[in-house]
Amino acid sequence: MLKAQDLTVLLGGREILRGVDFAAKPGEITAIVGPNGSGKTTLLRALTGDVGFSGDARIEGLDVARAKPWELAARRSVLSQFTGVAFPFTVAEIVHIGQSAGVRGAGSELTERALARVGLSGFGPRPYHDLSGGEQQRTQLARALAQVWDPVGGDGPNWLILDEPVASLDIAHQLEVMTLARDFARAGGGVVAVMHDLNLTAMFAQSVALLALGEIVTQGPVDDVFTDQNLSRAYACSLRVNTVPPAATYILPHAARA
Amino acid sequence: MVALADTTAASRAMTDRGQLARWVMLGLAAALILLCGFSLFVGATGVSPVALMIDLIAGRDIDLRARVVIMDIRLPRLALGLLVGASLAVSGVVMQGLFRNPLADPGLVGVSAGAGLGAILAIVLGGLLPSALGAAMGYALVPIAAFVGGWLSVMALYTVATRGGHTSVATMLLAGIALAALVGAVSGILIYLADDAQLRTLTFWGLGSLAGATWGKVLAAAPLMLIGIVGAPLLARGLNGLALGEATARHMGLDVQRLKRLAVLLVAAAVGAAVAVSGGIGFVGIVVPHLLRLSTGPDHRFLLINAALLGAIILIVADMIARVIVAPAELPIGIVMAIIGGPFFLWILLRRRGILEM
Ligand SMILES: Nc1ncnc2c1ncn2[C@@H]1O[C@H](COP(=O)(O)OP(=O)(O)O)[C@@H](O)[C@H]1O
Ligand SMILES: [Mg+2]
Repeated sequence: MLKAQDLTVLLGGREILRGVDFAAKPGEITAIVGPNGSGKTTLLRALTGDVGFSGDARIEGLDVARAKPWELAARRSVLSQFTGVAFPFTVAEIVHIGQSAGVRGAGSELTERALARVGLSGFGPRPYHDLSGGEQQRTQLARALAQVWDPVGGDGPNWLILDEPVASLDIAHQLEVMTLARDFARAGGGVVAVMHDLNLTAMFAQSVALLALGEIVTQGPVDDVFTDQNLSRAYACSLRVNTVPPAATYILPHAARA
Repeated sequence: MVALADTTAASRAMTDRGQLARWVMLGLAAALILLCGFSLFVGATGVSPVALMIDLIAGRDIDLRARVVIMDIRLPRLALGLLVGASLAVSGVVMQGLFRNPLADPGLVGVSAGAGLGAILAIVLGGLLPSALGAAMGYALVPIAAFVGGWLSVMALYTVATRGGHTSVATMLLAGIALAALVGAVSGILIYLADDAQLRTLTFWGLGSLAGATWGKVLAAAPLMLIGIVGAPLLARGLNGLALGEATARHMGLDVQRLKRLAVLLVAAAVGAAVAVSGGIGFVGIVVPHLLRLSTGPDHRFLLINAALLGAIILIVADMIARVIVAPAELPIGIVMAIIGGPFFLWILLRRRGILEM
């Protein structure tokens, strides 16, 4: 279980998050959606202990504000929105660093499997800096995946915390990455992902938190949260939720505003 | 099946660089041992260690002069060269890892200058210490003062140039210039206070030289340098993690604050002691890591050890050049290193024009 209560985050003298309650269950993909600047990344950064906050945040009982970095690292891994790499490392080396810096012993076999999982088989020897943005992002995802490879460890579920994991990916790789997340969740792990694509979210997530202006508009099962009214209010534009046969939910911009 | 074949290629490539780095390590170690032997031959006086050995084995009386030259002049000088070269190269790697930038060289960004100020203060004002304390500290006073100076400069630099884990290269280099200018001014003032003997020490020291190495000097500075050289490889995994960014390093389970504190201390110890005994020898900390990253990659598990070896090699070669090129006189090694390192540094900048925009 990942649970945050009454999170308030102050950055640069501004309240970026105000009294946010957030919960995610293992076995599900929990998406965080909302307009640009609504505080999605900030919420993730609070959940991973990167920014100070008031309130309470726990991952599988671990107090995020107090736990040691290695205790948290054994439980969850993080894909940040932007990750710069200093020095000319190769793809395989980066994934390997993800395993060996933290808790688990490093094996090159796991590196290979993680790379294969994100569709980067054979990319191991390539210099990271020569890759396209999408390939770099998938490398980082493989690095995060290798850190908590088992969805369920000896002492409970592990967590993937992903900030816009499909942001610069083509449609095939979007599906590949979301399927990876779904498999991780179905095997008993927990996934929290910031998402921009509402249709992809509707396809893959079980639970959604809708964020606007630093506050939770509503959180719950996808079908409860994705209503015309909720989305139109949060995004401040007219949106309509529909289903195509056979009953897949999709969202189209309803009308361009004059 | 296809995936399986591809992934073994990935692991092979990764271990390939590791393998290469291991071979390079062996090669460098062998080269270093040969060079050490060779450097004992080279010098203003034509004393050969082989002749000395033969005399020893034959049970002949050993020529006293030969013994003094080898044991008390060349050997301490060689030891000092090894330690200083390794210290400067390793500090370069650690600083670059800490600042996440390949230009962060202790010499370029004012850390050597800060250490130098500590050393100058100790040389000039050391005499003012209560004589008992001064005597107790002896040769160790200058290295310790240089360590403190180096430590303060790294801290100042990090505070000025780094915000939220991101280093501004321009700020870092400009802060280095400011530090160096400040140090120059203070040294200028201190030179007025120095007596003749101190003045000679200062001038000699400022040019960067291994001449005048004595066992006393070596022993006083060796512990600090060894802390840097031996301690740095323990930070290898941490520095690898830090290369992916401070936040990511923390996400992977590293105690980033502790890592940074240790890195700063190691750099200060190694650079401080090296500067205290050899003055300002530049460029080792940038040339060596750069060559190694080009050939065997940036993995700190190999880079730190190989840098220690290659740094020692380069310094010993430079010292031999310094000893023979204007024989029977000799050049300060700092000048030799600047002649090699200056153009090399320009070449790095030429290759990577965008480096300052990073
Ligand atoms: N370090 C910071 N200092 C001040 N304001 C910040 C900082 N980080 C983010 N913000 C502001 O907080 C708001 C939310 O940012 P963020 O969580 O990144 O939004 P998003 O939902 O797009 O991920 C934005 O208005 C952003 O400008
Ligand atoms: Mg964001």
